Amino acid sequence: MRRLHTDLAAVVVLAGVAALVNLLPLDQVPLVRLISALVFTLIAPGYAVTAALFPRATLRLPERALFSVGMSLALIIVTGIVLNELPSGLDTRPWVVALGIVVLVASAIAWRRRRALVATPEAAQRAKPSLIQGTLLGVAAAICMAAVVVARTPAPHQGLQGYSQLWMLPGNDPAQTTVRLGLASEEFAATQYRLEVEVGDQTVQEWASLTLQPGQTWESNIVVPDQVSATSPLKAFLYRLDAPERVYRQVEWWPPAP
Amino acid sequence: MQARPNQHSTTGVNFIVADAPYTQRTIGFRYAFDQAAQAVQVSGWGLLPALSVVCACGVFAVAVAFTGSRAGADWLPQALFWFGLTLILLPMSIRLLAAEATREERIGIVTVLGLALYLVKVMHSPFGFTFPDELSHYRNAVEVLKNHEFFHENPALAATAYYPGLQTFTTALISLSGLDIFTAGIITVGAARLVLVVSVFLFQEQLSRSSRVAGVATVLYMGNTNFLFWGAQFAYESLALPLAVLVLFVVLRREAIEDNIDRLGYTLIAMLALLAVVVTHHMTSYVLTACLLIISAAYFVYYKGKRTGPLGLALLAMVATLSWLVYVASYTINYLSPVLLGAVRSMIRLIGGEEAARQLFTSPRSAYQAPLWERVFGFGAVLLVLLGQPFGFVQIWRRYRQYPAIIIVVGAAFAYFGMLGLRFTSAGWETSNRSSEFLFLGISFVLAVAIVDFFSTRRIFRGFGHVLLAGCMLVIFVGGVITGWTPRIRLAQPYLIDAGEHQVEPQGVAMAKWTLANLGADNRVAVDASNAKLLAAYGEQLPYTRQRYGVRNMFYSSIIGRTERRLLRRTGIKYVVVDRRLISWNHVLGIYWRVGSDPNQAKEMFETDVYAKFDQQNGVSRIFDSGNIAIYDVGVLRDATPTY
Repeated sequence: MRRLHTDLAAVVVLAGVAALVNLLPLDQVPLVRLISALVFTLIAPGYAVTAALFPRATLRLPERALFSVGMSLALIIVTGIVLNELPSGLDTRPWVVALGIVVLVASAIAWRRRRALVATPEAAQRAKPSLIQGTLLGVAAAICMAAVVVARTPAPHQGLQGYSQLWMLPGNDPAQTTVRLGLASEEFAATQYRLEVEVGDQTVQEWASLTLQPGQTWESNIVVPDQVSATSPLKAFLYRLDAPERVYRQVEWWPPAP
Repeated sequence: MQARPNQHSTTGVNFIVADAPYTQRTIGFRYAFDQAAQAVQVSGWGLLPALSVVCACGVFAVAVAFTGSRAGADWLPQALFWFGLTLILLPMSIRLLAAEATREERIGIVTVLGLALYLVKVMHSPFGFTFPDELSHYRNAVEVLKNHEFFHENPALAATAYYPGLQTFTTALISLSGLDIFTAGIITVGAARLVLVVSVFLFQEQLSRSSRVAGVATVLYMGNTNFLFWGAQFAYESLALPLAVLVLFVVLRREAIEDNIDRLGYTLIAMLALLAVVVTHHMTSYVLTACLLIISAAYFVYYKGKRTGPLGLALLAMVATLSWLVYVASYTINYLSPVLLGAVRSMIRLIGGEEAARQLFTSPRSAYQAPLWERVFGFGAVLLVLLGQPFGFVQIWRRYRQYPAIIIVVGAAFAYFGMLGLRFTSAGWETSNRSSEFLFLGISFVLAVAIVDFFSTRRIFRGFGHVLLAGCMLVIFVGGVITGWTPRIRLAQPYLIDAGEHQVEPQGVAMAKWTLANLGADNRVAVDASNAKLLAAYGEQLPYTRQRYGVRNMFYSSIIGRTERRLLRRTGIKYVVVDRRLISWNHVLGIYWRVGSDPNQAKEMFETDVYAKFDQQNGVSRIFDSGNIAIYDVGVLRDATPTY
């Protein structure tokens, strides 16, 4: 009786899909890429190798499933050690080629060994879940997904204080005649600021009102004033307009030693 | 009277479905029913679907608890958390104790249980890695993705760079799927968890020839102190341990069959998994090697030299482990020696009266003292384990002593007693804690045998008595959770904060990302312990922290004197990150917005002259300020010529 090796065919096809998606520029199908990658890394190599090592139906489903996932983990780890020594290193294409070879070779061995068998003891029949049982399992999965969604709810900001980042860095010019002044808001609501740049007691530049939304960033390049020296750094003071007397953030920049 | 050996074990299909090796004189009524039920082996799902719904409700309760704890609620999240865990574990345990559950149902139950408990850990930190070791391993993945090869330095946890198993799989998944490191890491450890629970079940089943014992033992194994959180984190041991248990199962299965074709298959699987363990985690590979050697010795003695069991695999494990240690990962010796020797020295000092016993259920650093009910459960769990052992040993002697491999579980159970003593030492408690993942393989078997082969056969434990036994299993599990994880972050803490359309990260996370974007990678930075992890992971910097070169002393000092300047020159440190919060020096607690609902935390700051000392230094630029955190460019101090 001709045997259908649909399981091996499925493994090879899925591995092929994963290889195609990664070798061709197919960024528009992220879901296909994700699913095929999960099969290609977590199931296919281990399943193919298990099928090659146990051509007869001597493994029950739990053992076969365990070996499929476990051997996939182990195979990728060991394959990685080999790839690390090759010039190609650990990159997408080498992985596709290496895992593709593993799946193809193991599947071919499995097919060959199965063909050579004269008689195979049948595995025990597995009971499929009834409609009610299947529905219950689906409900359980849905509740778990809902749980994850609930758990991923960001915490409310009551009782916590947001923050703003202020920075001053040398400009990109080699002579360092400019500095880069930046401000980012990680407050919980739109915030208004006043920013002053000083040398000694003298204000050299001022932004009287800057409004940033949460997550917004502001940057400006300013020319280093002549007054800046080895004893007189450039300083920036940030104030919140709802608390204008208190320095909220401050940074300073010393010129490099000559 | 000798038990009858299993005479049907020519293939893997039906060797379980047969007479179990029980002596005739010990078969009671309940036991005969159990055997009959198993012998029928009607494959079915039984109550698994319904129990899965109950379990999922427990998971949902835990999710609500975590959401509440992040919002700062006080007692309700605690209650919901434990209620959720009870709902996850208790009904499943009751069902596993029942004789009529099929093998498939039992495997399904432990699988669902294992994944549900893993979801608890995922929901604890659903936005990003928060455990210190996870951040260390994150850096390994970053390096592999950047350089396409292993063995680049990991400044957060150097030893991990020499065991590339975890980053290999994770980066392979990332390369092929386009996922980010966090999501790929969650999936990787989730797959490892699946392998772990099924391997533990099959290992226990192979030893006991009973899926009922295996199911109960697997649940008891989940009572080890590291199962819920530590062992589920994105770290190398989380991947190595499941593969090691897989090897142990395969070895036992191989020794039980006679068919050479299948024996070859099992041998090759064991070899592959074993090699993967060797390159993934140091201690797991040592323990696995030891186990294989002990099993081989047991076979040699039992069969009077005619059989050596897995001696070939044991020798392969030894050669592979030693070779990796000597030629690749010799750093491991410097890494592990202080920990292990420290534990031994601490124990000797404790016995000699030179060291005071560590106070259990207290944390001197945070002045935390566990409430009474936690102590009751913590001690209760240990008491139940200790009380159940003798009953298990008796049953093992009566029914299982003819299996040489039984020595492994018995030895592990005995070792547990010794390891308990280490919990009273200051340097050894962590070693004791970490050993539970290995030793509970033995303890769970001994206890499961006691429960199934002894207690379940007593009239008092029939019917409703199963609930009592399941309750004891729950106590062991709860005790493990209480003693195994820092109580202040047992519940989820605020990490991402809702700001309308934007979500705000903790200051340290944002600071670390800012350094990568604005300063570039691989800068030497002096920093506190918690921000060091973040800088290594998200900032790709080279952090110097704790007592390495005396960095901690520099941070706690109120002046920049000769010692501090010398430190900066010696280390070449370019930047100093100053976090005003005292808690920043706790690498477990420091990354959160707040820990617990203590309103006084915001006031726990360094003194002004301590955290502002760099502001007094001419030439030191304060390049970044985000409130709690400031960054200083100390290049001028580092490069200054010493005047002494």
